[in-house]
Amino acid sequence: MKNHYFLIGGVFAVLAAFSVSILFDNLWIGFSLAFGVAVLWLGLFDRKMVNRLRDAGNRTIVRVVLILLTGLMLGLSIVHYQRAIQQDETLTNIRTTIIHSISRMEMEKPLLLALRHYHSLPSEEQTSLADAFQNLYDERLNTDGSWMPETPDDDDDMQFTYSIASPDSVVLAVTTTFTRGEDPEFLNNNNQTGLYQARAVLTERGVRYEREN
Amino acid sequence: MSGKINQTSSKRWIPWAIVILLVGVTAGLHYYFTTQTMIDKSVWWNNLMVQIVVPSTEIMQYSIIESINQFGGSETESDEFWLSAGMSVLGLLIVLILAPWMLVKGYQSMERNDNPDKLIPVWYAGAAVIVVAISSYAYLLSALMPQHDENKTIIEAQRTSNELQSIMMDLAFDASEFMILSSKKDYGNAGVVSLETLPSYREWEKFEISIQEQLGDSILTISGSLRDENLAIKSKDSIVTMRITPMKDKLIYYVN
Repeated sequence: MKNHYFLIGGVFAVLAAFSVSILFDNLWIGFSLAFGVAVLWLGLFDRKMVNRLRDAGNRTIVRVVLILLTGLMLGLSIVHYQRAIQQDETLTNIRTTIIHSISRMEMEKPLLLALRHYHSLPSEEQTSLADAFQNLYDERLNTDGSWMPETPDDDDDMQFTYSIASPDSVVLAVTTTFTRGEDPEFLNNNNQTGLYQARAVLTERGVRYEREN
Repeated sequence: MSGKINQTSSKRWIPWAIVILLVGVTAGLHYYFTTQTMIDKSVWWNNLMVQIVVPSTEIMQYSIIESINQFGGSETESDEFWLSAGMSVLGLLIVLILAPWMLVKGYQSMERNDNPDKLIPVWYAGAAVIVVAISSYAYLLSALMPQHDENKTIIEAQRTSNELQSIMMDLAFDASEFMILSSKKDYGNAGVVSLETLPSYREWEKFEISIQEQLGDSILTISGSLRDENLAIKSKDSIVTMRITPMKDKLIYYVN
């Protein structure tokens, strides 16, 4: 009967350790803890039950089997964990690369075209860069400060805004709603954290693209 | 006396041989029947039982689904979390707690019993789970390890290729800006672009970047490639060519 209590104790210990994954919303944390607890339990199991087997051969077989079982499970779990991390990093990298390229085309390109437009005007018609930009993109500038991209974003991920900092400076900015940036702690303009954010600044010297996160 | 010991030690392996044979025959039949149907041959080993016996498979699959959902901006259903959590904890309990306990319980019964040939079901159940688990781990590890190294190379190639695309875009915008400004201002040799004059240009160990053609101040084509041949073979976009047309509204575009 004592052995049954020992079994039930092991089951509850593993369940308790695994439940940590609910707190962190991460199954790998719970799995690692539960695996560690199970190995500890197997150590006690060895002293309490395996050690008491009368046949030395049986004791050896059980110990070899347990070492093989835990060793191979640990090895395979590490490979699976690395694979999951690799996949996540790859997908994040692809997403960020796509968003980075789109945001440059949606912000840097129109600002360069505004610069070209400004310089193409006869000197008597050149008022300011901000005027040249507004004349060229009037229909894409919304009254709430948002900038309408050339190609609509079907995922609703990219939020573009514009600001006229001075007559000779125009700023276009982008903040995403789910594409991750480099720093997970970065506070974005839309009050979310860790997301991609960038801005492009137009001055008479040209366009400067700055990735903020 | 020595004969009796040898007989006992050889008999010790008979139940294991029976279990290994049973598991092998069951797996063989399962393989035969699944490969006779439309089921993909590569998944024949990946059935529900193995999924429970190998709990990290379940968690890896959940993690990948979560990453894919994040990529598309959607949340992973909480049901999927609970299902994966349930299956993986069940697997841990069966493989690392219940099966060893049953095996040792079986051995205790065998040692207490006067008839050593008596079938002890609890021992067979525990041994069967352990044989399935150990053979699954060995099979999956041997299949995954070579793939793992290959995947790492492919990922590195993709990253390097993404980096090249980003650099090419930097250079294309710089060149475009230079050509726009130089066509209107006095920049000395106006319109002629050399890579060294572009702010984002530097010597890259990994990339070979050159100007392919320049037609006055209207068209400039630049091309970049990966220096590492191994990465170039693994990468889908080992050569990136961009055309800069500062007089057109398209401004810059990828040729390939």
